Amino acid sequence: MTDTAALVVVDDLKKHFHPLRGFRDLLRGTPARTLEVVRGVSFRVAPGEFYGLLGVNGAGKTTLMKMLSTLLIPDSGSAQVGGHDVVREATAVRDLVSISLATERGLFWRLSARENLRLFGTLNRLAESELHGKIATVLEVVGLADAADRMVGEYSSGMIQRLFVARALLAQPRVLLLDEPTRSLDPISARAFRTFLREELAKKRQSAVVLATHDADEAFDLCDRVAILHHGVLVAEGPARELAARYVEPRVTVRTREPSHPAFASLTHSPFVRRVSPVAPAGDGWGDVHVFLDGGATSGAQVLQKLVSAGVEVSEFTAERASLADLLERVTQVRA
Amino acid sequence: MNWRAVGALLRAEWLTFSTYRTQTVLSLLALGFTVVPVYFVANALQGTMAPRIAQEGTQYFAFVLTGTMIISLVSSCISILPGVVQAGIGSGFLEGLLLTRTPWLTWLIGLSAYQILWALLRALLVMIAGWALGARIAGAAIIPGLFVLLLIMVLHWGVGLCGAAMVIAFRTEGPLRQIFVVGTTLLGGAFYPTSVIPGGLQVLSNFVPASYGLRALRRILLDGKSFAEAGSDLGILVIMTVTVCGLGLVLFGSALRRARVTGTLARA
Repeated sequence: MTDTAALVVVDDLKKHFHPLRGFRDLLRGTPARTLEVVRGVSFRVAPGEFYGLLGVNGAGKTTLMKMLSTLLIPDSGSAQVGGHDVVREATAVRDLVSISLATERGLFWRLSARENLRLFGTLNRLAESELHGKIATVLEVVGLADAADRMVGEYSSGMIQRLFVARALLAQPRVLLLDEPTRSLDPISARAFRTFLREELAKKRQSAVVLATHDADEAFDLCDRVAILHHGVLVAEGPARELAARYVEPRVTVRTREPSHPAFASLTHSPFVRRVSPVAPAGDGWGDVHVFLDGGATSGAQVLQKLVSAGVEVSEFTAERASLADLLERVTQVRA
Repeated sequence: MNWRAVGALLRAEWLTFSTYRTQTVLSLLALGFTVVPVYFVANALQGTMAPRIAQEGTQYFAFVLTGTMIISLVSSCISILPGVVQAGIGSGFLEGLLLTRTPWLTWLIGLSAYQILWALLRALLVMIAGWALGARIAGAAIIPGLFVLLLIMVLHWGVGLCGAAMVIAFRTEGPLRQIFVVGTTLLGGAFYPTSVIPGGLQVLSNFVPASYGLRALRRILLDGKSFAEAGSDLGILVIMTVTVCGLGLVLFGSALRRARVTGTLARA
């Protein structure tokens, strides 16, 4: 992707913090600690693209998003949104970006959702004539239309998070930064929300969406590409399925009554099996055996054939999809 | 200045505060408990104080009433912004506002507008209650008096802006409010004219903005003097207002930028 085509351009971005020192540290003269939160991260996001930021807690995802939204000033490197520098042209960037942070609590709690959105719409300079319609639309999208006139203080945590997402959508941003947007959403609302993001924001408006997520559905199905951050370093980037295929061992799970059958041990001598990992049987006598493959679907078929011909009783044979945890664990192990 | 944004924040604050009905009623009732004791005490001291306040009205009840009103206004105006910013840091509201297309000065004014107007309303109610009890107030001087009142409020709002900057930088406004409230009470001429303060302390009273405001307000409102006759005090008050507000803007802008560097905008 060329820089001119990208809506978000991040180059060698760095950010560190100095954690606060207590009186004891000051009296002892303990030097200030430096916490490198983002260390030389670079990436591009195209219009209409979903870009996922993956990583364990403290990997630097939120800090990165705060720098893109102008809330934080980077130490070095550069970041541009829609061609505007996030430090020198912060006001222009704010015209293009909206952010919804997972931990945010900033609302008027004794006002309704509609009143809160009306306020933030006005602060974002939306025309009075447009406000009513836009508020109704975003409330519908996040599933709060029925509760729009209730006091926000009475909302559940999931509803509050939905309201923050609605607030971020209200300004119709070119770049939407979402920090765990479906964390508190029920599965149906989460699916509707993802559909909206995909159809309305990405396809119709060609907005770019950068989302930090711990959700496998979002990483694998929604994001066109993901970046895996580890201790502030971008250690892998690409479509999540490709990364999973590259880093995570393909695995089949065999449900059997005989997890200690010698056929499983003999599998490890096959060229298409890397290792076998039995799991203790459950109370009903059935247990799972994980077989890690060296190869794709053909290897799985060969494993099944060998087990059946050895007379192993198999009730289920499942090709496992790599989990997000598997992916993060493997990438960070390999790239550490 | 985006006045639509100021109006929207004022409206949001109004809607919020209007849900605290009991608090509002009690706050208004408390005004009665302020005015009535002042009335009795001031009348008891009228004979002693009258010669000392000859330049500022001669009626001690009206004199003390204005002093009481100004102390309340000073305290309110200084504490509004640090309170708003402190709460905004804790809740993340400050970050939410910073991400909008509204400049920070606009939303600071918007967020404090309702409380400023409420403080002004209470001050006016105190004066009206005092007038009903016999305080001699020059009717023609209401508008110029209001101007002086607003000047005093803006000045102390600027002090609050400095306090808000301190909250962002150090998570505390420090003793700023206490210094100004105690300064106004003891050295600003709230309960006695600054002319009776002993020599050394009188020098200190020159640094208390409220002393100029109170003197100008009383001359205009209680003594029926013109703007020009209160000119020197008003001039100094204007200079102080511009200086303090300018300092507040610089400090707040710097504190905000520093917080964006250190990542402390939303840390509790």
